Order: sequence, then C-alpha cells, then structure tokens
Amino acid sequence: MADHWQRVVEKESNSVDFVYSSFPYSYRPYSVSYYRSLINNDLLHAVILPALEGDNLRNDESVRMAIPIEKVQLIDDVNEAQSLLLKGYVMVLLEGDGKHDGILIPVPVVGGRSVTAPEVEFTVLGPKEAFVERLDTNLGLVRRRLPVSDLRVHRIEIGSLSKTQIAVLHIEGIANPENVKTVQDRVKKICYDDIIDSSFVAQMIKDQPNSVFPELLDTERPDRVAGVLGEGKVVILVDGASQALIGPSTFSEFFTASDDYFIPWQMATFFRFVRILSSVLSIIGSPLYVALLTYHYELLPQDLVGILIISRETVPFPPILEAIILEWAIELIREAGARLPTKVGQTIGIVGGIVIGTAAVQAGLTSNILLIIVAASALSTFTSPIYQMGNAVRLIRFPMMLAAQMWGILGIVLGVIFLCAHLIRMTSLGNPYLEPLFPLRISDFKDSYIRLPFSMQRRRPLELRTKDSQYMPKGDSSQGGSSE
Amino acid sequence: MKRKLWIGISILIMMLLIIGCVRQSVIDELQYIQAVAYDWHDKKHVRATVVVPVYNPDRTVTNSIYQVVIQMGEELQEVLNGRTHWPLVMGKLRVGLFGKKMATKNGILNILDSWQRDPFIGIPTLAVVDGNAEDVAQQIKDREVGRKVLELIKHNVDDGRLPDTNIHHFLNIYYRRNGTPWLPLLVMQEGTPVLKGIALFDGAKMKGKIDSFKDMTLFTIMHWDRAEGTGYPFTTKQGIEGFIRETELNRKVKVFNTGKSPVISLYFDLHANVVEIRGIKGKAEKVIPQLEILIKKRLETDANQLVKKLQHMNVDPLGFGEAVRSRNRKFNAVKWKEQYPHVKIKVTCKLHLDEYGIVE
Amino acid sequence: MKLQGQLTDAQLQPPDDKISGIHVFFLIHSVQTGVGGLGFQRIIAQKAGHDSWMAVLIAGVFVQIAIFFMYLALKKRREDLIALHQRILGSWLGKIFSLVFMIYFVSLGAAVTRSYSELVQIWMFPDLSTWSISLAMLLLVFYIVSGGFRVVVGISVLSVILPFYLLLLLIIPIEHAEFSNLLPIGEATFGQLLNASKEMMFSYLGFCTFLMYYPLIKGGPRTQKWAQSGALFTMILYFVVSIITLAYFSEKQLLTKIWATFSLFKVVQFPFLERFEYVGLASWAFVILDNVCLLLWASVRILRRLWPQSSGRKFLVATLVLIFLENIILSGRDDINKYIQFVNQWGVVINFMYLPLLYLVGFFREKWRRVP
Repeated sequence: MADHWQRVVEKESNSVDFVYSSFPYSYRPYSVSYYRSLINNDLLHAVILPALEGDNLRNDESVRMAIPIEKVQLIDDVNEAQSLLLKGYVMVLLEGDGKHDGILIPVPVVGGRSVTAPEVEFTVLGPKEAFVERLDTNLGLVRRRLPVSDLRVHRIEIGSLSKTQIAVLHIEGIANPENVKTVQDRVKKICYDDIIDSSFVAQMIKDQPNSVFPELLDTERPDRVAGVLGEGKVVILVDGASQALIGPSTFSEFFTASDDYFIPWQMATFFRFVRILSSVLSIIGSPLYVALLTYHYELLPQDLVGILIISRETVPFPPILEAIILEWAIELIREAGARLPTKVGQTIGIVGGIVIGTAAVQAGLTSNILLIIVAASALSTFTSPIYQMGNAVRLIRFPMMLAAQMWGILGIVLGVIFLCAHLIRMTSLGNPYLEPLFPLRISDFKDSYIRLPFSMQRRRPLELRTKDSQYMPKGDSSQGGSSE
Repeated sequence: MKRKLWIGISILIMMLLIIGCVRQSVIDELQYIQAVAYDWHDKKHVRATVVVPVYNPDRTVTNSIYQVVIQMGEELQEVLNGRTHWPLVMGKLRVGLFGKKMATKNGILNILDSWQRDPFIGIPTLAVVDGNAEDVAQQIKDREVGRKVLELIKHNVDDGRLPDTNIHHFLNIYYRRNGTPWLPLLVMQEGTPVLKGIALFDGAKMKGKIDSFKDMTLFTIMHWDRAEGTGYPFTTKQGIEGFIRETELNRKVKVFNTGKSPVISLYFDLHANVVEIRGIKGKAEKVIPQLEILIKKRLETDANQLVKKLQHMNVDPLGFGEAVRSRNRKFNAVKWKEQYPHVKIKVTCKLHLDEYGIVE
Repeated sequence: MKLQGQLTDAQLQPPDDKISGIHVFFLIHSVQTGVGGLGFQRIIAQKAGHDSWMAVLIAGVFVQIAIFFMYLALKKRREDLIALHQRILGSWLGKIFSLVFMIYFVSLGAAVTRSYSELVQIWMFPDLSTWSISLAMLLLVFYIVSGGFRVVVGISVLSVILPFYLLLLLIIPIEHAEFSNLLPIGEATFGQLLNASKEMMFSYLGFCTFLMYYPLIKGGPRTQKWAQSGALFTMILYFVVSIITLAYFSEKQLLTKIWATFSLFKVVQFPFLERFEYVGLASWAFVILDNVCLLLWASVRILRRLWPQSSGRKFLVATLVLIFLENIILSGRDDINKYIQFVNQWGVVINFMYLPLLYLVGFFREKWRRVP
C-alpha cells in the first residue's frame, strides 16, 4: 500500500469506529476500511465482500463492475476519499499495479426516523405525514405529490464542518426565476461552519436579520410545500432538518393553516379571522389592562370599574408590576413545559398554572381579571399555526406593556404604529411582507386574510410575479358543468 | 455615522422612558364623584353634596358623602380634595342634581358650563329635585346614588314616559335662540327618588314645572317622534276611564303665516292599544270608533291645555320656536319671545285604536 | 453578511421602486385628513352657521380643481416640482421657490405635530411635556421616512384602513341628531359661504406633496382618477361629519366645542368601553403621523433633488430637529393658533393661487417659444 494511503488509514484509526482490515490472500489482495457507524454492515458482508473474493478481477474496471451497487467510483485522490469515507462509503484499496489505487463503494446506513404524523402542524383533516431528517426521503415526499419533470431541485452544500446538503426546489415555468436566483445566491453566500437545522438557514438568509418576525415560513408538511410550489414559491429543504422553508412569504401566510384548504371557505375565512384577531388581542391584551388601570379610568364603564377595584383591593403593586409578574409566571410555565419530557411537562403545566394562578390571586398579589387576560393572551399566541410567529407575538407584548405604562393607550397606539412601520419596511426575499395590505392588491386578498372558494382562485398571487399566472387554463372550469 | 445615529436614538428613547412619564391615576386609588347635588345656600353660595361610591371587598357598595358650601363657579374638587384620602376625580360623573330653589334662583349655567368645558367629564344626566337635592344623595342607601337616579330616568326614557334627557340635550336646547330647556323633576318619597314631572327652564333658570304624571306623558308624546310605548290614562266626559298605550306616533308641526303672526298647528297621528277600560260595554266593532272619537277629544283638550299652560309661563320646551325658525329665514328671536304667549297654537290628533283587548 | 435589509442612501429612492396608481388615492386622502378633521366644524360654523356644510362642498370642489391643475402641469413631461420650477423659472429662481415649498412642508409638519400634542395635553394628559410627545412622534417619523417612499406610502394606506372603525362609531350620534337644526337651508349669504370655504380649505391642505411623488407613480397621468377620487373621498367624509355635527349640536352649542368630532364620540358607549373620544384621540396619532411622514419625506426629497450629492439622512435629521425646535418654541394656545393660521394662509396661497399661476406661466412661455 502506498505511503499516502497508509497515512490516511493511520490517521483515521484514531476513531474507535474506524475499521481497517486487509485480505492479502485473495485472488486480488485488497484491504477494506470504513466507519462502522456510518455504513450498512449487512450489505458489506452479504454483498460486497463476497464480490471482492471473485476470481475474475483482472483489472480495476472489472472490480468496479463486480460490485452490484450503483455509484461505485474509482479513486486516486486521498482528500476526496477521506471526505467520502465520512459520508458512509467503504474504501477498498487494491493491491497490485492497477491504474487506480482503489474503489469507493457507497453503503450508507439507511437509518433515521420513518415518516410520521405531523406534530407541530397537526390537522384533523387532510394528509398526515411530516418531513423527517433525511433529505432524500423529504424530496421523495414532495415529488410524490408533484410528479412533474418541471419540479427542479438544485443542490447546494454549505457549512465547512457539517457539509450540509441543501435542496432548493421550484417549479420551472411557474416560479419567478428572480426569486429562485435570490434564494440560491443567498444560500451560497452563507458562510458558517456548522449548519444544523433549517432554522439556521432561515435566520441567515433573512432580509432583516434584526426583526423578530419570521420571514421564511417553516413547515413540516409535505402537502403544504407541494401547495406553495404550485403557487410559484421557492422551497428550501435542508438535510438533517425536518422543517422545510418557504419563501417569499407574506405576513398573512403565517396565520394560514393547511386545515384552511380542507374545510369550506366560509369556515376557513372565519378561522383565519379568529387567528389574526387573537394574535392582536394577545399583543394588546395586558398592555390595555395596564393602560386602562393606570391612566384611563374614564374609559371603563362604572360596573367594570367596581369589579376591577374589588379585584385589586388587596393587590399592593401598580398594574404594570402586577402584569409583568403574571406574564413572567406564564412564560415560566411555558418554558418549563417545553423543556420537560412530554408527560411530566403536561402535568407541570397544569399544576403550575392552577397552583400559581390560584395562589397568586388568593394571596392578593394579582387580580383575577388580569389572570384571565394573561391566560387568554398566552393561549392566543398558540393560534398562529406557525410556531415562530407565535414566538414573535409572545415577545412583542413586553415592550408594548412598557409603552402602555408610559402613555396609556396613546403609548399602545404609538407602539402599534411602530409595529406597522416595521412590518411595512420588512421584505421576504425582496418581496413586500405585508402584501396584499401594502402594496394594496385587492385581487390577492382571495387567499390571504380571507380565503375565497377554489372557483375564485383562478390566478396565482400577483405578489410572486409568476411566469404562469393561471391556476386553471382559461375557459376550462374544473367543475366541468359550466358550458356556454 | 450610522452607529452614532443609533446611539443617539437609543439615548433619546431612554430619556423618554425615564423623564417622559406622566402622572398616573391608578384605578383603585381614586375617588369617583358619581353624583353631585347642589342646593341653595345664599345668593352667591351653593351647598354641594358629593356622592362617592365605596366598593367593599364583600362586593357591596356604599356611598360616602361629602358636603361643602362653595361659591358659584368655584372649583369643587379643589375644595374637597383636602378631605378625601384619595384624589377626587370627575371623570365618572353620571348624575347632577339640583334643588328646586337653587335651580330657580341661582340658575345652573355656571355649573353646566364648567362641566362641558372639562374634557374628562362625559355626558351626565341632570335632574331637578322638588325639595332639597341633598336628600336624594343622603337618603338612598340600597344602591349607588348615581346609578339609582340614572337608571330611574333611563328606563322611563326607554319606556317612553320621558323624552331623552342629559346634559347634552339640555345644552342643545339652551343654546338655541330663546332656548327654554327642561329637565326631569324628581321628588323624594320615603327614602326613594320618584319621577314626578318636568322642570321647565327659561335659559338656565327654572321657571315652572309640569308635575302630573299624565301631563308628563302628554308632553312626551308632543315632544319627539321617538316616544313609543307611552301610556296615557284618560277620563272622558262620559265618565269612561281607561289607559291606552301608544304603538306608533307621527308628529307634524305646521306653521302658517310665518312672517308676522304665525299660526302653528301640531298634529299627531297616534296608534294605540287599549290596556284598561271601565264604563263602556259592547262589541269591539261598535265600541272602538266611538272610543276613538271620545279619547281623541280628551287628548286634544288636555294637550291644548298643556300648551296654553306653557305659553302662559312663556316657555317653549316643545320647540315651536324652533319650528318657526327652521321655516323662516328672517326669524327674529326677540320678537318671537314677545309673541309666543299669544301665538295661536292648535293641537289636533288622530287616534287609531288597534287592539281593544283579547277578552270581549 | 450584508444583505438587502440594511438601508443605504441609494435605497432611499431606488429607481424602479414605483408604486401603483391605487396608492395615490390613499396618499391624497390620508394627507388631507389630519388635525383639521377634528375641529373644522366650529370654525366654519362661525362663518356660515348651519349652512356651513355647503362650504365643505365648495372647498372640496376647489381642491378638485387644484388637483386637476397639478396633473395638467406635470403630466406632459412626467416631472416633479423641482423640474417644473427649473423649466419655468430657471435655475436660480426655481431653486428659491422650491425651497419655499420645502419650508412650507416643514412648517405644516410642525403645525400638525404641535396641534396634536396640544390635543393630547388638553384631553388626555394635562401634565405631558411637549418635548416628550413630539420627540416620540418624531422618532417614529424618522423610522418611517428613513425606510423610503415605499414605507411612507404603506403607512398612509394603513392610516386610512386601521382607524376606519372610528367612522362607523359616528352612527351612534346620529340617533340623537336633530336634523331640523340644518333648516332653513341657504340662510348664509354667498360671501359668508366663501369665507367659510376659505377656512375649510385648511382641512384639505397637504395634497400638494403630490408634486414631489408624481414621478414615482406607475401609470403617470392615468392615475388622475385615483387622485381625484381620493380628494372626493375626503370631501364626502368631511361632509358626512359636518352634517352629523350640525345636526347633533345646535348652532351656538357647536361654537363652544373646539374639537367637535371628539365631542361627538363622547356619546358612544359600549358595555365594555365608554368615552370613545379617548380611543379616538389615541387612534388619531395614526392619522397625524402619516401626514408628518409624507410632508417630511417631501421636504427631504426637495433638498435631495436640489443637492443630489449630499446624504439624505442628514437632511432628514436636520428637518426633524427643525420641527422639534418649532414644537418646543410654540407654547400656549394663542401662539399655536396664530402659527397654524399663518401656515394655512400660506398653504391656501401656494395651493390655489401660486400653482395655477405657475402652470399658466409655463403654458404661455411654451406658446411664445413655439410661435417664433
């Protein structure tokens, strides 16, 4: 064995799961080296080793042909061999004076989770499969739903340590090439050694890195991905991540659930309305409490004033402190619930909630009305189907409370104006984030803040500037019944 | 440049947060003036009684009462704040009560004017008390004073016994040319306020009153088109007694000869149900037309009498002057004031009895 | 990693960042509605009594004509005010007159912020210091205007849509309105009406910012219908509000109400919230801010067009400081009123006299040049 190969083997042997064994008495002497943890051992022993024992292996080419596995390659380059070893290849070094030093056989272990039902974006109706951590499986899930050759997958590898495979998907002929190019360029520009999850990518290719709002929608549902690809968007799949990224996305899409398309449009519209309203209430709920109780007693009707005064009878804190304490407690329960194992977490959540809440009210530390408001607004943050948006809403409440403490409802309104301005300034992959509200495009309201029936969804969103703007070819109604 | 800018902006925001704050008024550390009662003290002074609800932990409400003699137009809060443990605020003022003597002699304009100037005061309801206004404030024990009076007036307005009334309606009429507004008139009977009639104002001073319940409902019928459900008790010349409840009302004011000496006719088209009747028997088809004529005559006589009475007092709460003004571009307010007691006003009506009763 | 999010001066006005025509509707409408919308009823009723609603319509028609002239002046070459001045008045004079416009925009912005902060001081927080509220507003304005024209337009769209619920609340005062207050129609003389219309025009001002953003609109002359309907919408709004106010208050009562629109909201009561004038006052911050933003954007744009080499942000900070100082200096009702009166007089002169005149001068100059 050549010196440089010897060095490679010695270096790798520092890892305990590296295997090196030589077979000097075969027809053609060879050695096998691989990482035990990365390859499929059964395949190695049942297929590859017997094939290498054959007696017609005259030259390198015939060795390659003898192994019934695709993508077997001949190697000379040490560096390449080293990196492929780490990807689940078996390196076979051939003795003798062949043209090549050896061959590399891909026998990666096909492991990982099997496809399961979605957990974060669960829906009662509709398909129940979710992405897993393996890129090929995920691609398969998408391809099965879009069996067209126009679905293009562009692979990019990023991360000097993680060597993460990233697939950029779009449908040729529909998606705006500019968006595709933007995504590809930005992904290529990522310069970070260890990309662990798709959320890394999402944060790194954001237009406004300092915004708390998510700009790329992340989903674990292949049906949602297939849907938006058909709309003309670009999807990013990351190997090792079970969340796909969708862009360009608009604000309203973060309040859209896959459910909305499985139920009649009136209900879907109503539910979207509920989600947006509850998020708004969640943001201004406790600030409003602080503002009204600290400054604007005039605004409350007499009956309500009485109730509030009685409930705050023993509370020693000003409303702002009261609100912050309670909000803090809710965050506490939420964080604890998220960190603990599922079963314990549920118990802790309920027990913590009830015990802390009741005790705080009985001890006279907070008013029970505030308890209702805070609990309701905490619940409201979960109505956004996209977890990231819920997080943003969760955070915004605190500065809003400060604003309310300062100037009452005027402070809240100024805060809301700031939020609006921020949302207007935001873009997702260069496309306006608040569309269709601004820029105002009436026709795009059909599937954003409201959802109209499918028969009215003939055109793709203007926002995306798609190459093919029609969902349905002209004059060809899907109902088939409408003849002129 | 950019970093400097951001540092500057953060400093400005910090500055705002630290010294931009305004005075707080936390909801449970205030005393809400819910009702104020003013009474006559002497020519320049009035006795003000302020009612503040106290919310007890056992969910009951009691009234705490402060009384003070102040000069007309003096700031009430300033004087009283020396006596209360929390600051007094006017923002939840619901009811203003005026003793009859005070309303007649001092007039209520000073008080109303300061109320309407104060942006923190909403739209309180006003009433005149036949007797001492402070009695109302002091004798009600079972509920919040402001609420009790407010609810008393409000449900009578809703049921059509009284036209809509509050400070806005009062001032609305007051600021008309020759404004002669009116207010509900209350009287204390055995510890509860009772709606008695209507106090009539000339300008902001009380001039007279309508103190029968019957006339009050008649006034309501003649006042606005909105009154619905107004009940009217009647006794015809033949001795038939009863009670009708109005279901629909159309009111029309016509002015003839607008220029020199106007003649006004007030006509109303009344649909009503017979609720109670004594002294007549017979089949519905026969009785109803008969009754319609009898009651109509009674109504007309009563109404004309009421209008005469108002003309005699030279007050115009029914808005005849407004009717003339809105039809005459050369309306002369001073002249009208002189003319009004002698103007010919004729009230006519048409009555439709829709329901005689379910029992024959 | 440097991506698009960071703002550079070049992005303050990206060349192809044009907005579609429908936004002109919002730009025109939202800059017209401001503090004026809260108190115009009393001012015109002082002049024309219960007939003052006619003044609203007359002034509205004048505004339509002014917009018509603005399109006429600009649409041929799709230029903005600076180019127009340059062409008609020449380089030197043009520059001076452009600066007059810039000063007008800045002072109008100061008038708007100051009267809003006064409003807050009267109705909500009597002990609120002027500097703090102006500073907070101007910081917001800075954030918005530094985002470029797109963000300014966005804010003006939202400032029309979001506070729209206030308008629906005006249904409640109608219940208590007495429409005979409007009779007899036509009592005011024509002179009185014209006088009232002049006063009314103050509430319509601000739309001449259009002269600056016209080249940034997609569709050019075709957007005229949007501009006209934006002004029409303002007129209808003011008309409805003035009718309701005149019917709700009797004539002399109205004269005691400085902020009549808020007094209308007083009557609105819900079981969970009453005294909507406070909500209205706070929401009005939205309506106010978009005015200031657009005015400031326009003045910064004028400066940048005159001195293209300098940094836009410096101009922005300078104008903001100017407004802030004006806000602090103006104290007391009388001062503020005088100042606003003064600015508005100038506004009327600029909008309704100077601009048509400018157009005519340009028109004839062109003719003369062509004849020989």
